[in-house]
Amino acid sequence: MNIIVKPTSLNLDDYLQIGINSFLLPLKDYSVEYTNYYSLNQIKKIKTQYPKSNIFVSINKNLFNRDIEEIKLVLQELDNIDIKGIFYYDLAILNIKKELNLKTDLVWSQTHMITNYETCDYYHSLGVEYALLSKEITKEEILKICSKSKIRPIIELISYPTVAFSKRKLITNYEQNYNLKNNDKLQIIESKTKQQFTLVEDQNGVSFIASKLVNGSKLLKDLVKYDNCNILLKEDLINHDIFLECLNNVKYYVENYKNLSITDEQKWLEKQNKLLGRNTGFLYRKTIYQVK
Amino acid sequence: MKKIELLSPAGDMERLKITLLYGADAVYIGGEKYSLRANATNFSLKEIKEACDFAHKLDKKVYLTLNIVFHNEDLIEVKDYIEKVVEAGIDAFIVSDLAVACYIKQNYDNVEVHLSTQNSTSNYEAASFLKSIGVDRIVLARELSLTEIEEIIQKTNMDVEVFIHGAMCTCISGRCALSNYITNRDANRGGCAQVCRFSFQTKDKDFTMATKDLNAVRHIKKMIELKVSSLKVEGRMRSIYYLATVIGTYRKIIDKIYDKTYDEKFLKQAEQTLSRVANREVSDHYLTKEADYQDQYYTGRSEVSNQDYLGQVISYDKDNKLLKLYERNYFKIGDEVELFTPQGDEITFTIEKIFNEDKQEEMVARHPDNIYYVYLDTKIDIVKDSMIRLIKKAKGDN
Repeated sequence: MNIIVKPTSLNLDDYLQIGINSFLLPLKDYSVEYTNYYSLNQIKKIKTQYPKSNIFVSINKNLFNRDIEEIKLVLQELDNIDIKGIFYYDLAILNIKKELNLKTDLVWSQTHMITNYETCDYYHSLGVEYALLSKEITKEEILKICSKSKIRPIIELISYPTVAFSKRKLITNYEQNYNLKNNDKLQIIESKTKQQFTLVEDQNGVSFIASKLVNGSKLLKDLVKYDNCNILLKEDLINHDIFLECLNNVKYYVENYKNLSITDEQKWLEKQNKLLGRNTGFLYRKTIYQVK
Repeated sequence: MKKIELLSPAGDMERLKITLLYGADAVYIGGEKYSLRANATNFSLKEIKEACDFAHKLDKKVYLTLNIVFHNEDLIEVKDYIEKVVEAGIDAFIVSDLAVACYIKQNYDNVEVHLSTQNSTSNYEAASFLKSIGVDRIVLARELSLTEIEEIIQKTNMDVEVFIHGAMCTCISGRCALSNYITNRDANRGGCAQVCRFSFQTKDKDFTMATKDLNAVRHIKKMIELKVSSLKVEGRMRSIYYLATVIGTYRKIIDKIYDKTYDEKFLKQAEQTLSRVANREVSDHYLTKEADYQDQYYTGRSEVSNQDYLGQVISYDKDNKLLKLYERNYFKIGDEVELFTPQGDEITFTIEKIFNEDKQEEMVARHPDNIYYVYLDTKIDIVKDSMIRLIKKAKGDN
């Protein structure tokens, strides 16, 4: 099982010391729904500084005509520096990869839409190697995709999940309307459920990030059985020391799970829960859609 | 020259028939499964067949939304369902899942696949890709400008469908799970609770992000010039009065553009008519600029309840000059009203006489859904499903 980390700093030493070797770096201006981004030059430098690391780059914004020529150049440059894979949202990337004959693997990354094994297989038939599964599906649905699909699934195991993205400058508009001081972040609380979200605005729009950390550690026990499975841990909005500790725990589990007793496993999980809380998102909670 | 298509929503059989009669060239409907309006009435297989038969007799088309994001369990019966819907005579499926899109293209020659706006296609490279895998039409993202739409059409020669009227999502379609997190209702499987119309607290003023409705009435001519294939109206759950008014108005606009009888005076009238059924303010959002602070609401607000709709015509007795109608909202002697027909005729008159179902004279029609007769002297053919709207209340009645 491969562990991929979305870091929050340029320095990867802390993660490498734990033995993590795969990183997801969102490309500045072409990626959304993260709290920090990396310029192309920074990614190149990281690749030079850490030549043996597997670098995945996120280019997950919705692309517009004006982005296309620039994104072609970016993709060509990334292709030349041995990037492991491109997390993409927009279908344009599929066309460009073919058009430019790029060798870099693609990661289907359409946030909330990767929810079944047949569609994963369809993308695999188009040459897409990986799929970042939706965070809104259950454990059973995830495991079925892991067991039935030819694609290499990536499961976002620990993160503050991104919930929505709007092209509208919602924070700017709100501040403009009320003559408030300009900020690029805003905490909002839904009045009835008291659920909180962090809104982050940049030139692409506004990302909604849930303020409740999702801790999928309990799922790890099932995922480790699948060789093709990858897990993603996102550091965004998590304290660095806590993140490193939980990362260390995950690494330990992946390497030692075969030797752990039931009691050891319980202790391990309790440690993770103490660090990260017990919110498991939708892993054990099915959404509904018919309310009649 | 192929005329642009006017595409209407239809939440049930009555709406479907009304919108086709009022000038839609095609309608999109939801089946009992796999549609993003899981809580609408929706169509059974039998009704889909009836809808297709009705539309095809008028040389019009019916499209079925199959645009949920499919989960593993949804896949079990979908192929069987597709087969049955094809047999019922559907003209196209609107899908968001590419595997489902390709399955339909590989197995059925006689139906089209339209890629849903859930996929938020916003550039020509994505459009080229979709064309290469056999998608027949793309429902473009609602975040596009007219210039961007033009470039996509020019560079791909793809059939594109553009939203022109109705409610807008705050977030990019398909890229929003607010409903899942706040209400546990799955936005991408038809359970959207419209959380973007909720109010949120902050440390300062309350935050809302609800958008004004889309109204592209001033851009129809340009869209025809750009060779857009289809103009789409939102609102499968809207009332028949709303749909008749909106579809009837856009029908006239399109016809007048092609007839070259379209002018500013007519356009202003059309805007006025559309404003009568609007329950929110309107904007053209991204069509000519980036959407900005003027395209949203900032305070909690209630929807405007529309009481202009007075009655739906059942028949017209030319000899006795009596309109038979179902009352929809209170009206009385002296009210100035407008009758509009599916053919586009409009008659403004003052109500002089009202009779109840037993032909007894009344001063007021005050019982919605009851049958009333209204005196009207006209030579115009007034058909079933013509409608009456209020223009001005009688003096002394507020």
